[in-house]
Amino acid sequence: MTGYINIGGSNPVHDGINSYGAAFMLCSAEPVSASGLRKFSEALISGTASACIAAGARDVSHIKAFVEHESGFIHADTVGDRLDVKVEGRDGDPTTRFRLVVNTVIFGLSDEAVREATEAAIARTLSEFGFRRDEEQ
Amino acid sequence: MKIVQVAGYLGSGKTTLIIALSKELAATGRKTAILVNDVGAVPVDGKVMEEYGLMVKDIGGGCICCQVAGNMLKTLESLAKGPAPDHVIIEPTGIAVPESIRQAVMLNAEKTGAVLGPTIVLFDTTRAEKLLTYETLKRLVATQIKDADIVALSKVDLSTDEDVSQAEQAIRSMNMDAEIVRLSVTSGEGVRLLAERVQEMLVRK
Repeated sequence: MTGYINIGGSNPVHDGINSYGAAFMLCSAEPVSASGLRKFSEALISGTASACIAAGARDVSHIKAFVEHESGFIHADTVGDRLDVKVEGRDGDPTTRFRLVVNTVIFGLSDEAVREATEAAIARTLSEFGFRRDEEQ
Repeated sequence: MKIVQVAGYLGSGKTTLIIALSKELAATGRKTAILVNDVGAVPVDGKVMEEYGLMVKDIGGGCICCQVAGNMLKTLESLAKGPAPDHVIIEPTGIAVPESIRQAVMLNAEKTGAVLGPTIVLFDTTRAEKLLTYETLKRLVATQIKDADIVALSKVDLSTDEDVSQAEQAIRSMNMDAEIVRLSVTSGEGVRLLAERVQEMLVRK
């Protein structure tokens, strides 16, 4: 499942804030350890924030993600432009298949620009870590 | 069933505070449910809270304050009929206007059996300058702050004393009546105090 959600509505206090969310299964040829999944989550969040800033975001309002598999759950997020990523969660056994959920909320970019920046960062990070999308969910 | 609202701009630490606050409230033997409204097509916060063993209901599909208030009221109704928690903590999206939620709860109190408790609004002290500079963000943040019974200045462990004091002054100019609490869930500063204030207000309201 991927997509935008219209958070603007008719409320003027929401002006300029747009979001994009994506969720899908990922797989890896080799089992990935908990520390590998933590590094992946951190790289993904940091890469998404950088892409949004490069695209002209005025504020990285909140970018958050979680990675979940049979025995583990790791969540990561960042706010602002310092690119400090907080990664927490329950480490599990090494796995070859896991679910990724990403939500990007940005002030100062159009919803299409938020989508493009997020998808570009996902593609780059998957390539860097040698993961691939398994199936859309 | 008393309602505690934990609002505040995106990334201000609402989910982290709710996890900590729920533990404090659970220690009093009261049953607490969380109602989460996430910005984004796919919910994240509710899933994170479930990982900490909390009773969570997710409300998706838009902002709770202006687009999916009806879903919130239906969920409150089903909570009242089902697990009947003593407290419901509502985490609206970071762009929600707390007063709109308060109005929706109040106007439907008979149907849902919900009683309004305190509204806590978080303000991220590490991003004070940005939040108070951009006119659009400032308008939203000011709207949230003026609706607060308690303002929690969050992430104070990551800010200088000077920045926190300046943030406090700015907040005070937006809301003369709210109690202001300095908060760091990471270091634990303010968490117990906030839980005590919430419990006092729940008894009073």
